[in-house]
Amino acid sequence: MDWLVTVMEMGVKIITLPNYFVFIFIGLFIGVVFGAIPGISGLMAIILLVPFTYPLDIIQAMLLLTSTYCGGVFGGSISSILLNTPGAPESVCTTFDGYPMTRKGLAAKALGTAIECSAIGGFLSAVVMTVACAPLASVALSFDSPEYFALVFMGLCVVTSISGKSLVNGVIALFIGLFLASVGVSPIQGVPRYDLGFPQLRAGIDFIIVMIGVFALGEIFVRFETLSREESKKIEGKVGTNLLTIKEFLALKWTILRSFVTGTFIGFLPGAGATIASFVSYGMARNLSDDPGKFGTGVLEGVAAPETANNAATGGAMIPLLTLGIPGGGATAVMISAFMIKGLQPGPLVFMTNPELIGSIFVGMIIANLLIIIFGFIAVRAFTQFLKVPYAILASGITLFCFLGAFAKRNVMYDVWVMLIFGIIGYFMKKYEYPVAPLVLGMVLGPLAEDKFLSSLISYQNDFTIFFTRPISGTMIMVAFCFLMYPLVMMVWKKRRSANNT
Amino acid sequence: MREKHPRKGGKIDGDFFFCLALIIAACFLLSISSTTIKVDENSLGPFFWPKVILVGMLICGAMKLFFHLRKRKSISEDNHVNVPTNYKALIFAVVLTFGYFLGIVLVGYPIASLIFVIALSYLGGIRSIKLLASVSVGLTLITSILFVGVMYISLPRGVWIFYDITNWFFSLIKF
Amino acid sequence: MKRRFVFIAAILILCVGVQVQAAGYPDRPIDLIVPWGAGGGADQLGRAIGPALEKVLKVSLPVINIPGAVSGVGLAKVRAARKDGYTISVFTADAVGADSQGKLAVHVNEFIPLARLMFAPSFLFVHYDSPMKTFEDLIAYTKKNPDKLKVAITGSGSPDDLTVKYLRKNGIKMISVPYPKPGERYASVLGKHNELLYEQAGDVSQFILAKKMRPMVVFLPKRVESMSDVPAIQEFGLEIYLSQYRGLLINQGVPQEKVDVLAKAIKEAYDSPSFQKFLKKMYCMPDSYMPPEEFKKFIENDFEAYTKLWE
Repeated sequence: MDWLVTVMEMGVKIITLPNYFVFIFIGLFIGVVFGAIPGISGLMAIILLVPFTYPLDIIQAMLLLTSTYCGGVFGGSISSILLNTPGAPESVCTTFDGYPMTRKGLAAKALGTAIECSAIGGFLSAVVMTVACAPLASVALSFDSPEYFALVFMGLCVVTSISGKSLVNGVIALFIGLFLASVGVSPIQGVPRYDLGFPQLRAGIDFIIVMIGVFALGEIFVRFETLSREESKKIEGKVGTNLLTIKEFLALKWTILRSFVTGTFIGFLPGAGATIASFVSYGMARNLSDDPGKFGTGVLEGVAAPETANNAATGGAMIPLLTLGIPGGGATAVMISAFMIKGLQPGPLVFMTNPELIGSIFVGMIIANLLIIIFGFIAVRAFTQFLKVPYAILASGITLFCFLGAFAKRNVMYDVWVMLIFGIIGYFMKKYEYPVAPLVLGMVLGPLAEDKFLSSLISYQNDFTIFFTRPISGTMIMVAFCFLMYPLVMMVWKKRRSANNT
Repeated sequence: MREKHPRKGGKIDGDFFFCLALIIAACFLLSISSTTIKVDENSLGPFFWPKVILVGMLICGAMKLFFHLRKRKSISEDNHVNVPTNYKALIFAVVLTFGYFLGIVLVGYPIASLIFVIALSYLGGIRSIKLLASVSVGLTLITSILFVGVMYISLPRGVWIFYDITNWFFSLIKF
Repeated sequence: MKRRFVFIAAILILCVGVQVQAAGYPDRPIDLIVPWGAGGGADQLGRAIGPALEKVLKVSLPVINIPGAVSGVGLAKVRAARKDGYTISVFTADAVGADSQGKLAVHVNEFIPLARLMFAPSFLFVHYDSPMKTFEDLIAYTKKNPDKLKVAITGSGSPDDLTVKYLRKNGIKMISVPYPKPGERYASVLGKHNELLYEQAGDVSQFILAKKMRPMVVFLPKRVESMSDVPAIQEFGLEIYLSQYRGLLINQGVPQEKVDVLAKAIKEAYDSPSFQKFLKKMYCMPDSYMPPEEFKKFIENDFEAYTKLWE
């Protein structure tokens, strides 16, 4: 504890210097803007920022990158809520209830909720990261492949909560996503699968490209179909931000708390990350709610749960990075390369050799998450102006950014064509009520699921019971089955009750 | 499209064909999931996982087809009474987007973007020339500066003379 | 609105005026392609050599990550690039390995190697708290309990896998568990789910220094100077030396004088103190550098060695 106090003191001393503090501002600004632009994510901002950290010292560089990370995760909620186009998979869940709220004229409320929940989730998880870095890291290490598979399986089972009107359609979309993820060189044996002779397919289909296609381009096509009638449809109600009232906040407190715990916990496991966290907490919020049916039509819990969780995962993801030097996801992997450029290797040694760096990161993340409230309001005010822009102009801008987002990922035109194809697929899916979110969920989690499933079996000599007999993984599989069964049980129960009543 | 199928009111429509296509696709993919590849003795092989997924897909497709054909009352009837769709605008939008991506390859990012923004906005009902011009120039310039000038992403430059034009433009905005 | 146009036009004219047409090669940024994702060893090399080359060549070298298909996607991009010398790429031994099995989208001999920059031997690591301390302990243990120990490796078909298979053939029977992501590979050993790790020392230096992992044996004919207490595999009568190397290459067909300019600049960048510091941190061999022709022969030999191993 003494160590923590000294480290924090060092951190506060450094952060309060203006030439350090300013990088938190810059990072948050860049993160929120990139996160909020459809087709481009906060992760891309971090990747693109790394060359700019060359002239900075390591503390400045890390403050810049961590606040870009925090800002980016929040920023994603803006385009999810306003335009139904998430920039990163972790903000996919926010579209489920955020966009319906916008359509109902409640955009201000949704954005206000997103800002507050993001800030609360991020702030609390940064505090947890500071206080319990070391013990949580050892928990993360106790996870072996079967536990990871159980976790991913839990994420996949959320499909029952996010399928909208037709459960079967959702499951079909999930299976298609899982299958598309398995195209390409197999993760373990390195054998090309389903490439149908095309060398490009051998590299696999990138889920970011698919996501930009089905969400952003698909949405443009859907809107264009009805455009002439719609003209430039303005958002009804005042566009801006609307804070939660005390009453609303108290009603949400358990949802927020639960999502925060889920987010931090799933976030700190290497390789799992914010996407599973947001999906699982959305599923939990829905299943534990009094009226699951109203989810997806624009309820506050549906925005609060994923937004708290994905921001809580930011603090969580930093834990394995700082204590073990192991990246939990894309953003933290890029941060490692920023460390490396400075000749530092994140890991147990840095705690001893550079306590001022660790202290600054801790304090910096806590402050950055608090500043999200201010930045959120400014950004939301700026971005809601776009809703007043005629949709045709907005759509052309979004298409430009879709191209840039898809192209900049690998700098190959092939990805752009794939995106267009999935844009058309996304249009048909939306039109025929096949939910697109399970497709993305399957594509994100598919490779992880396969990898963990097969390596568990290799590790434990093809013993299938391993997933159930290990205590942590067994518990998670049970929870997953609850996710899977709950909606079915509810459906049967409701039918029976209505049958009894009549 | 809307003709009723004689059997118990189940309809042959888009959904039906989709299920059929899904089942056929799953069967085809299962058939090419070769098992001849030699693998290590204690691993399930690279095609185990996709096969599980494909079987799942098959079951779902079959289930949906089964329920679809047995369904007495069609719910899709009341779903389709919503706003009549503007297929013309939709097809134009898709074609334009396709043309845009093709244009990027041929004439480079800046020129293609300039034309695309004007075209799509015009299609969407914007007729003010001033607005069209300023928006297209502004968007192209901002994105080019951001991605080429600031972030050093080498966006496509096109072919032939366009390569040199784009190259010249990019060299202007690089710091 | 009009004023804005005038403003933009003014800026454009200003830019043209400032633009100085520099003669000679290179006069504009060179794309430095890294055919692997951000954060890995190849990426680190790209981000270390880029700024060092920038100082020598006086143009910027933006790093572009194009991951996919064992570096095949990125290399295919280099192959398709204009032969004007403005696209160079990092490449790793994995490409040679994949090419030798016909699993690479392009062929390694379709490129001109510019230099070998990193040459790092591979080690077998064990968790620091493990009862097995030395390679002799390991041999004794596997004799008694074959197929009980697990080695974390990158993936099947990789040099890691070949090495474990080779050891297996020679009586040291262990199971290899593949982890494509380096972070998960290290975590599995730190969390004691797997006993052993096959890796280059630079990638896990922080765990060695923090006494979390212990090097057991190095896959080289003789010991490494900086880690002289780690025995070489040849001391046990075994001969398998699949070292990792990373270098730079350029598309075939680029004019020779441009290649020479680059090769000279790379040598200069390699000798710069900042890059030397980087090499030391990565536990690279002191004689990592190899000029173009020599490197070309080295790759050809390695290609043959791989082909033989596959048989």
